Amino acid sequence: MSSLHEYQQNLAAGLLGSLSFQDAEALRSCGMRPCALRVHQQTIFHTLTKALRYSFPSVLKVLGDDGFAQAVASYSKHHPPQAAMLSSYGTSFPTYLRLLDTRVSTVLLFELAQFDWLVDEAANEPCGLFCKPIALSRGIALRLDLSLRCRRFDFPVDRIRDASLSELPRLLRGGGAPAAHNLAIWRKPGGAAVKSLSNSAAGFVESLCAGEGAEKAMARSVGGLNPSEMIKRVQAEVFASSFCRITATGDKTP
Amino acid sequence: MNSALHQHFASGGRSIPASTGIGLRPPHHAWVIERRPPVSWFEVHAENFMTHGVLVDELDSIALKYPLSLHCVGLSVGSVAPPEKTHLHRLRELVARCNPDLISDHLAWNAVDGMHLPDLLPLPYTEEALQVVIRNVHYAQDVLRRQILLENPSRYTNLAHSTLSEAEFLAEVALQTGCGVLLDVNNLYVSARNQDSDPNRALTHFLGTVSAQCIGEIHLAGHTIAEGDGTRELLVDDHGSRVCPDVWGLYGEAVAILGPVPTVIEWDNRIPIFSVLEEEASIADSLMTALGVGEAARVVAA
Repeated sequence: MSSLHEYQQNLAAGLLGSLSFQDAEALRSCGMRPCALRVHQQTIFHTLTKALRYSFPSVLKVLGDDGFAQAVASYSKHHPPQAAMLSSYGTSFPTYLRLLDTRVSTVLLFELAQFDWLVDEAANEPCGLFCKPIALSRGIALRLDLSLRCRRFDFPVDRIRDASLSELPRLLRGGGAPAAHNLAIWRKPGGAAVKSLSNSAAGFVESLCAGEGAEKAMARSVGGLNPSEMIKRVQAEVFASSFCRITATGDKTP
Repeated sequence: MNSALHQHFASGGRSIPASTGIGLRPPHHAWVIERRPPVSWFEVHAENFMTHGVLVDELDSIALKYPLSLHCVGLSVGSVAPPEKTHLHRLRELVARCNPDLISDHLAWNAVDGMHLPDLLPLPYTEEALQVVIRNVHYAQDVLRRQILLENPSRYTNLAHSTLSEAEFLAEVALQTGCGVLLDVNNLYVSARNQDSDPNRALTHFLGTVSAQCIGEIHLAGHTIAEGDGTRELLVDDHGSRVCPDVWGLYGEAVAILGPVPTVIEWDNRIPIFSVLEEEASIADSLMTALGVGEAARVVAA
């Protein structure tokens, strides 16, 4: 191993606070002053905190500045970035939050973080790109926005994200929260859009996103509804949404 | 600069004037798009625009009106491993999209064994590090098909094993690769003070060692003074305040020797209202004008 490589490994370990005594000695012998190490540690931590604050605004709101900073400090030590692009940093943050000992339910934190991450991912996708047409019936097809994600949440994560700090305690206690609900998230001009979907509409969308055909998706979305009610919901919630385009295919085959 | 290489990596962008531009950060995007302030050119952090998010749409609008420079932090040319391929390809896409006149990164490292630490970490200026940087700069320029500028970073320590000065190291990299040099006057000042050197002598050494033809850009920024080890103070390059008088003095000396050089005001923390950045830029322009070296006339965005 080259001496440059060894120095870089030692400095990285020193910055993450995981250096053995011998390696710390080696670092000092290079001339690395403790105050220099401190400045670099602060810069790294500040940058990572800033990136995660941007990606996880709901978690930040719920944990507060100090709680969030503690969560980031612990997370970044165990999960340092694997790429230079920090917009992709934090994929495993939702799962990591489940391990934390906080006064907020870790299940809620996990869902909030998952929701934040989906919104952030969608906001970084290209705008206005749609999938290939999926045949609906004779001559008609639909196309879904390629950034579309659909997930089921047990907590009102969308309302918590939008809530003011004064509304937050009531929502965290479960006040006024709907039961489990489905959210569609996709890229729109200016950011990400979020829309609540009924179980029928969500089942239909999830099925299509999984690559299944329209017929199978319709069958999955029926649930306990009669077919005409289900079709009404899919039409109102999916076909009329900006994440969906209905197109004529010119195919007249029955 | 090696003229063949210069031609090979010639910029495809509009020409950045030898006057003062501003480091543009996302909080000011809307203001700039809406008001079109009379700024000569803007420099942006490339890594903020390597996704397909809203910021990229904003950059498209800005690139239509102003000459641009892309300033990177993620190439890690000092790492033992070559620059990350995905990162370089994203940068190449961004270059194709906004056609910047200048592309730059730092003489530093931040990646080791697949781990990326978001800071500009110090390199020992040794023969081994020199060969690594030369290889990585060659690789980056080959992938980008463009010349890059390398910036002298702020240093908080004097690494014991260095055998070259920073200026000697940069001059050799520029000679071997055809890359340019970005002289950050604030970094030079911060490094000199933190290494118990005289900033004026450090500048003289820098300008006497790095060919003036290689210096394609100058950076100016503020720093803070923090507690160092024991009774010593430590200057921290935090880009969170106005350029200090000593750094203005060094800048005046630099442009008097170099002639007109595109200059940028950087401000990344505690970002003030836009007019404060314009004030700082106008100080730099007036220094260039007073010395008779600048194209200080501002380009009013069409």
